[in-house]
Amino acid sequence: MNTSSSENAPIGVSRPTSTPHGNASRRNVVREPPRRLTPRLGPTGTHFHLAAHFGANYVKKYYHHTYLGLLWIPLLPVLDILMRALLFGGFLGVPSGDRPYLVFLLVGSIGWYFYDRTTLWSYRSLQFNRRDYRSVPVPWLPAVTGAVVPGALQGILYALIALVVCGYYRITEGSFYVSIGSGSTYAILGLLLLLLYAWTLGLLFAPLVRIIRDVRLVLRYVFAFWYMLTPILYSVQTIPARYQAIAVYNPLTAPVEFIRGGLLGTPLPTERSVVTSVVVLAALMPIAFLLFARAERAAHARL
Amino acid sequence: MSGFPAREQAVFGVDSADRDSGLSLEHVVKEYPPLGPMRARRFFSRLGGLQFDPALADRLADDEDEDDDFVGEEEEQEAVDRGGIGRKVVDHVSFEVQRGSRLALVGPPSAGKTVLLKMISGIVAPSEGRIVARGRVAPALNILAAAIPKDQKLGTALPYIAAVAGLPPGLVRSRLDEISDFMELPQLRTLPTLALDKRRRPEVLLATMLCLDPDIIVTDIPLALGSFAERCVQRLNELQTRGTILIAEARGARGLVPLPDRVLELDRGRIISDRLYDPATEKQRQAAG
Repeated sequence: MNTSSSENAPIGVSRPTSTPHGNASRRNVVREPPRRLTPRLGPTGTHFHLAAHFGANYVKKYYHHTYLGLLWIPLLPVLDILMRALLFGGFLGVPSGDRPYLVFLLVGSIGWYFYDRTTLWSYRSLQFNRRDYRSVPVPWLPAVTGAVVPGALQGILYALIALVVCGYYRITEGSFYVSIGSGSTYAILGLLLLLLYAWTLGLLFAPLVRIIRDVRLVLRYVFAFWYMLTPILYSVQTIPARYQAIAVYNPLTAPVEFIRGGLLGTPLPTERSVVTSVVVLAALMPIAFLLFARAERAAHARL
Repeated sequence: MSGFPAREQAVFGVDSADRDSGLSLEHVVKEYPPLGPMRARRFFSRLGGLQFDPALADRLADDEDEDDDFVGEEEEQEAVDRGGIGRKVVDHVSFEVQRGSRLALVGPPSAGKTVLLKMISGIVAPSEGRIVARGRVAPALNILAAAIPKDQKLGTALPYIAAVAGLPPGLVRSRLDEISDFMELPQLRTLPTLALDKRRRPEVLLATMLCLDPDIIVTDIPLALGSFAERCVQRLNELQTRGTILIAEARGARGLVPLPDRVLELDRGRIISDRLYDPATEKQRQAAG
């Protein structure tokens, strides 16, 4: 198979040539039947443009047709965190060690909402952009990678709220609680793992969600349940011993614990938890890529 | 291009002696496969013991899903309308076009003209065969005009549509002023796409592609009379002198603006005639039906 060219070449070969306009950068483009096992990346330089376009559309969906407009973007996480902190930290008194529950919850939420929003928009991407994909075979991958835009936005918003809350505690209690230093590398590692999980699940489910509504309805509840199983609202140490295995073998425990450990200095995930997370990801990723590429090829062949 | 039938190897176009090939198609086939998603949907419908009813599903959807629908059903209907399932819409087509040529693809509906244009543009991949295009291919196709995002300003929508067509979006961004002048729309950057009527959207796309200095321009947008058409013809003439190939699609070659120098007639996905444009012959052919 040939290499791809810089322009107009979803498939094909390129080699420099002279053209009527004397631009040496223009190339011969060869179009052949697709034979690749990986998803289409599209011509060089267009992938990120399309991903940014789709990402902006996902963000717009949050405030589209509302009176408050853009204000909803910061308002949603603020209301969400206040409700959860009041319920779990206030009424139920969930322990959070030697730090306020609000700080504990916020730091865990940075990772979770980054993952959750990225996954949600990844698997919804093809169905959400169906009008763009209906007649023109735009590569599918940018729609999935674009999902990182709403995910990152949510993560940043929770991080900003955490900074404000920590600033408040710094003034009132003299402690900032969050430490940013060499340990923060663990937090970056955790975010990276979550991003890979989000994309993998997006690649796996997006082609199904595109054609079968039931999948999306089921996924909504699966992710809500997964949120409860992942130590966001509580720490692993507070889980009764007989249920510890659930947390250890939950592939998302390690990334969330990495983020919390990196920023709050809580214990890092156990070795078994990290291995589980990495092995599940390594097993799922190639399957997701292959299925996604196959579905994309089949759909594009029909256009 | 060795191995091509002699008729298809013939060189057409003005001043063809000293020019080389800008585009060649080798045994290109486009065949639509059966509809996979429909099989999956039917399986799930049977699993639930119900017939899948998208209308009912939409009614049951919550507010967040107010504008959701699912593509399988539409895809199937569109493919059936196209008459594409289970047959080759383009069947072993081979030809070569030299630089500076104006080629008209003519034929009845479902002859495979549009699919061929889409394949040359890279929008659709061939099922078999090979297309070699030298240089930048600029597709000004109705299908792309329809895909211009309606809720955006043209300054954002045009680079997006260029990216969809496989062209560098930055190139379009850098030519927005030129496109604006060409369209005689001074506020083009900030103009919402919805402000343009359906007829103007293809024109904006055509203007965009003409301003990108293409080596091959592929279009199914008809040019009528008027100042825009005149500017397009003038621009096409300029491009042609620099060797740009124009490939246009029409039911008949006589109505094309500007007139082609070569006509390729298709029927049921096959080339049935490859001839130089001659007004008298085309008139005769059109009269014959």
